[in-house]
Amino acid sequence: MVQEQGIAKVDLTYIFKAVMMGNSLYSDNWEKGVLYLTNLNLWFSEGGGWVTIPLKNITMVGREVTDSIRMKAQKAIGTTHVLIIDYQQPSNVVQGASASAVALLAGNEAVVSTLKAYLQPMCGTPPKKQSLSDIDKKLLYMLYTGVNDMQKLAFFTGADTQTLADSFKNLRDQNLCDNSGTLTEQGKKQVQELM
Amino acid sequence: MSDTPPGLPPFMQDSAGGPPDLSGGSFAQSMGAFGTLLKVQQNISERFPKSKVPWNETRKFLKCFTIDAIRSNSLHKFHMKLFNESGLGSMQLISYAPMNYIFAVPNNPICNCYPALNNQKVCVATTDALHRFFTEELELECAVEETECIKNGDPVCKFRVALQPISAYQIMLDEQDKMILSGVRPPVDQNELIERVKALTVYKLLDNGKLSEIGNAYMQFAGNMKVQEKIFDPPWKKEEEIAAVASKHSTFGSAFGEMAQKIQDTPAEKAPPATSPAKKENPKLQEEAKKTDSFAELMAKMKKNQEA
Repeated sequence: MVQEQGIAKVDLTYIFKAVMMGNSLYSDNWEKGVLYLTNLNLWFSEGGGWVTIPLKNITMVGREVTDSIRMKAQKAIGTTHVLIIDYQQPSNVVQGASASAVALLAGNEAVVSTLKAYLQPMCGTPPKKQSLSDIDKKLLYMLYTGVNDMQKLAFFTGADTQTLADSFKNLRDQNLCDNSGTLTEQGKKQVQELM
Repeated sequence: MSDTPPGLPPFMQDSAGGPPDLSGGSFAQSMGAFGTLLKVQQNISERFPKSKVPWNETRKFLKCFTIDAIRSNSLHKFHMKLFNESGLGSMQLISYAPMNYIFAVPNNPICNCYPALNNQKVCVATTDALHRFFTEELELECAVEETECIKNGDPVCKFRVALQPISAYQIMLDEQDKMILSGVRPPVDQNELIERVKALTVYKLLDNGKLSEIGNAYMQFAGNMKVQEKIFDPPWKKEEEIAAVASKHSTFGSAFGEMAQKIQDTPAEKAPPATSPAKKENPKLQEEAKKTDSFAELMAKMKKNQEA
């Protein structure tokens, strides 16, 4: 059995279980405390005790932090440097099942970046970085200007077909365009705002 | 919200005295490694915001079509130096295709920050730093991926930077290029015209001297796009000027005076002298330094002046 060993101790502000729907944050119960990173767990001081996220339960480290989350963090705790950790926890509803949860860590830029750089390889997230939301915006604008050929869209955005398909689905789900790539009134309005 | 942390977490109470068992990485190594990585991130946080590059320099970089040309480009040299000074190792460009760059880092110090991890790619810090440098400091949207890693058994760490063509075109194409794409001859000489057409062909916007499908789609897309080019000095300008002064003068003493003048002439760096006598003394010192052939001679003159 592997023995638990400390790797780092940092002072941070966090929400251990944040309520998020898509990219929107509905929690504001930021807690200022101490975080220990070990080879097995993340330990968060909470109230008078400790809560943990086992590293093996972490499903993603460092997904994109939207501007709205940054603004909320800035307003609540005075920093825009936030790290999102997606993890699995035992379900409160079904015994033996697990449920998705999200933790938000915020603080000094260097500390947040270091935690991300340390956690991603430990939790198996591949070191690749691409701006997805930027592709959404570019795709929306290109559809608006009438460029809808898939090959050209892929070339211009530098995105692979899957990423582009996901981005297109995202635009369609938000009712910004229809199945043929024609922009809805809402989509056109969005482009005008972007311009 | 509680500001007072509880006592030690249970793992610290239970494991006291227990031998470390981290497949090759000890507790002390891991703690030290985290500190090293934190220092690198602090360097990045401090240095990168001061490294914004103007579009005209990025344009020159994008219009280099051979590895040798890129290596002698000022922006590329600055990039390599910035990464090295930030603690990200001695990065080298090893492969190039338009809008695609492969960088290698031999003996990557970032790999040493993960003593307990093996058989996987670990260089998130370098990947993120490259992404940040290209997207924020150069305004070039891109995808960055670590393709090889020393920790994964490869001889060096390698990173692929793939630029988003729209983003590269937005910065690379100036008014003259746009005129060419619109079928209008820009007011440039024949040689420059040939160079520009060559660049537009390399970037697939022209094909056999005519607007390509990509070029046509881009012009359709970019027609309504309003872009505002900000003009400012590149972050390496002062350093280059100082290097030029140093190579122009045969002695340290004479170079020193001109360098001091250049540093004082930089508006952003201008700070009021602490006392008024120093204010009067500086121009005098600079004049002396210009006239002096060696540093020893300058020192002797200064000493003499002080005594007088």
